[in-house]
Amino acid sequence: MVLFDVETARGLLNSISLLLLVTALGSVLILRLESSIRLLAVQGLLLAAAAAVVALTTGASHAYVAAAITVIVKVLIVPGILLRVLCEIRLKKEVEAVIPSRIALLLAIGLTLVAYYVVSPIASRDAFLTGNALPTAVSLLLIGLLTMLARKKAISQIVGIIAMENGLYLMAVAATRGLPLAVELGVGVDLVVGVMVMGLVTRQIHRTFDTINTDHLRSLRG
Amino acid sequence: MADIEPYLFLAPVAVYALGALLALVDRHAPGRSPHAAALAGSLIGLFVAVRALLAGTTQQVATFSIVPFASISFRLDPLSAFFLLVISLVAAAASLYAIGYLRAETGSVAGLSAAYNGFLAAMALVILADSVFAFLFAWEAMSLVSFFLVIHNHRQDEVRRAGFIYLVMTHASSAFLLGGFLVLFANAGSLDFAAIRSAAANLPPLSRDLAFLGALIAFGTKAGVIPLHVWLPRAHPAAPSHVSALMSGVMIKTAVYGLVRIGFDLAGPGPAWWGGLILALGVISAVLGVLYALMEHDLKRLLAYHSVENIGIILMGLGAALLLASFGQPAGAALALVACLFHVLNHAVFKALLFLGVGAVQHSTHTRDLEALGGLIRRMPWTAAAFLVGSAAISALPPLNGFVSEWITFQSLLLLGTSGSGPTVAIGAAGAAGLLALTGGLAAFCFVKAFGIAFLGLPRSAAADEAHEVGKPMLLGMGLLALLCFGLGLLPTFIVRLLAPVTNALTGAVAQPSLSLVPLTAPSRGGNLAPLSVLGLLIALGVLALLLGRLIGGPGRSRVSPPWVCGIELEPSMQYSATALAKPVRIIFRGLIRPYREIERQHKSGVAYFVSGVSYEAGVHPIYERYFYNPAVRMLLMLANQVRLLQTGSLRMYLSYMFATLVIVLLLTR
Repeated sequence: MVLFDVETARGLLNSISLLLLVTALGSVLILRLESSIRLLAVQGLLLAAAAAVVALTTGASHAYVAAAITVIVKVLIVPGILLRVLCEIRLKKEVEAVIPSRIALLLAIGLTLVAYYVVSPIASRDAFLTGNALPTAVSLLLIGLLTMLARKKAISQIVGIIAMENGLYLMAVAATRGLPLAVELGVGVDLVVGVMVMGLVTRQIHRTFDTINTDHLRSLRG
Repeated sequence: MADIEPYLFLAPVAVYALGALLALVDRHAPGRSPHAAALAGSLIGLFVAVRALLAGTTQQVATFSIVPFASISFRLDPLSAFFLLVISLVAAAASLYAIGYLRAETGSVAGLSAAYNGFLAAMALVILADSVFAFLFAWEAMSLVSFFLVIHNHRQDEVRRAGFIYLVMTHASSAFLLGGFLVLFANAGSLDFAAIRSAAANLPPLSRDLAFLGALIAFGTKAGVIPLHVWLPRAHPAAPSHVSALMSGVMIKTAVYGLVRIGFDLAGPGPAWWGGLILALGVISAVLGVLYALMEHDLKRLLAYHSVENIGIILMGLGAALLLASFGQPAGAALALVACLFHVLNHAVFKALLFLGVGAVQHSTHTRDLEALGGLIRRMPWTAAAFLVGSAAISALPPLNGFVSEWITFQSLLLLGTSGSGPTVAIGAAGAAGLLALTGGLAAFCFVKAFGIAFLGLPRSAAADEAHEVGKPMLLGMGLLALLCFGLGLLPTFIVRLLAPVTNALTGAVAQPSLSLVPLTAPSRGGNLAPLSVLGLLIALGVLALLLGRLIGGPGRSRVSPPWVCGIELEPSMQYSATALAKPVRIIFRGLIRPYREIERQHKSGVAYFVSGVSYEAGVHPIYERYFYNPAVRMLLMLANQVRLLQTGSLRMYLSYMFATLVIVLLLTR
């Protein structure tokens, strides 16, 4: 079933990308851990929408499956695991930031500009990649890394790395018109296992140090 | 059938692989079926090897191309066939032994058995490999699997430490091996041994030397050549005994195989200094190895140091062979090569026997400390007999096998000295022969100590007092090897004939050692040897001595009574201790081995006149550790400390590194 022509699809992908960018910038400002996890779910939903757009444009059946997997993994499973970890270790629900959120926002905007600047030569070469998808993908990546840097708690760091992974996923969707199913499945499993392991490690850190402030890991250095 | 025939020589490897699989699948008797498979594989290997050696020049090649750039090929030529024979002989005995030994073994028997089979397969593949890729793969597999075997008892601190040192040494040395092969590859333009072999003739001298040195460091480490041997006395004792037998008896021989392969075949013929260097290393390893062995009171460590010593003797033969080959004397080179390879076989047999014997002692007394043993000859008579045969063989006493190969080594050293290649070689060869004699004497002394303290006298501990004879499979494994010690010593001409195609392929000549079973040709230059006559003479002299004793002493009757100890009760602590027995040697060679001792007296209530206890600690400070390893380790730690400036321990710092790198790379590649 082909619902959109390429023009429409591009328009839709552009809009979705802008929305993703907004969520990424917003994530820097959010101070409650729980909200930042819920924001991840929103990002996952947007990514699933992007995948669905690609599916409806190309009509390839595996693209539908990809969209479905995205919903399951990124909207349900991953945020679910993180919320459970958060619930289990019962700590203060605020993020602890190293960099004040306003400055972080400025940095994030700067990074977005860097992203646009960096990808502009690539984006202008391929018609399908014009617009916001690719630069948004790179900014998601950079802002994710910034989140990891700027926050102290281990959960925030997991949130950051999942944001990075979202950026990569957006890039894949935008650049390839849908990944092969095997790759899609692999990435999905990888993410779930990765988050489970990170959740376990977070619990372990909490049990050992009675906090999930990663600054304490410094004492592990021999 | 015609299709399978060329691959038939890989059958033992396939059976070992099957054994490894069996170990993981068979849950009922994880110790038995895999070792039965290993036994079957080694018997097939024995058959394949002897058939190839008897046929002489047969070469079978099997090539698999799995990856496009490098073929994986295997070849059975006379040299490989001989080493396959060595591996298979020891593997057969060790597998038999393991069936009994593992009954009491704790830990994962399944994993141990699987690794054991994998170890055998890897060793067979090392000597069959015919391309760089296959060789390095098998070599690394052998190192890794043996590492897992070494750390089988990983709950002990000492074992983990031994495993770590082994891993570090073997991997560091692999880098040199890789470098050596890369030099050969650069010249030949191919990773196949066949291409390297045919390109060896126009190898530039510098590349030739580099390839040789790389191989020498790598194989020297695996063989346990002093000063690269530090892992050996730690790792071999740490493994279960049947594995120690394989490691000491066979694995270190794969390094000798590698040296022969590189020195004669792939990078040869080389300049004279190759042989000189190997000969010198051999002499150092032999003399220092036996001295350190004398200082050891842990039976397995003692045996491990004897492996260092015997590798030294083997390298003396190899060095003489390389020297004689470079002087253009193929007949002499062939003789020296026979000495080297024959001792490889003999050492494999008697060292495996000794390790199995110690394994039996440990199995029954739970200790390997000489100072806690004693009197075992009454409690474990068969083990004692087997150990005695091994001790006599390693001490190079006729009519056992160690004597024959050391005798041929002497022959080749003397031949080297009289080969008319200048005074340096003559003096060097004479000196080497003298030091070889010293080594033999010290080895005999060391085994007087090992056997005397462990098996004679009174038990020094309750564990030794309660020892009992081990089960039949273990005795069978040891008995097989003990018989081989006699067989190889009495019928050496058979082995020399098997070695003819090997020396013919490598040196272009067949050795004619003056050996005959029963004599009696006129003595050639350097003398000749007829083992069966020696045996006859020994028996005749023994009978004569008995008769004389009877004649002179008259038909007296014997009376058994305890020795007189000044009228007090006889105690085990009155016996000679191992430390005391070795003391003369410690004093004579103190300049070389740097012994130390610490005596501490505890005084009763602080009064200097009433001693309540004395603690005594003695050991040696090895020279190579002080002047080579300690500085090297210090430098490495210093460098590591420099690098640690980057490692702050802060997660955020690490993320910043990544962040900065990512942004910079993105901006640069725009």
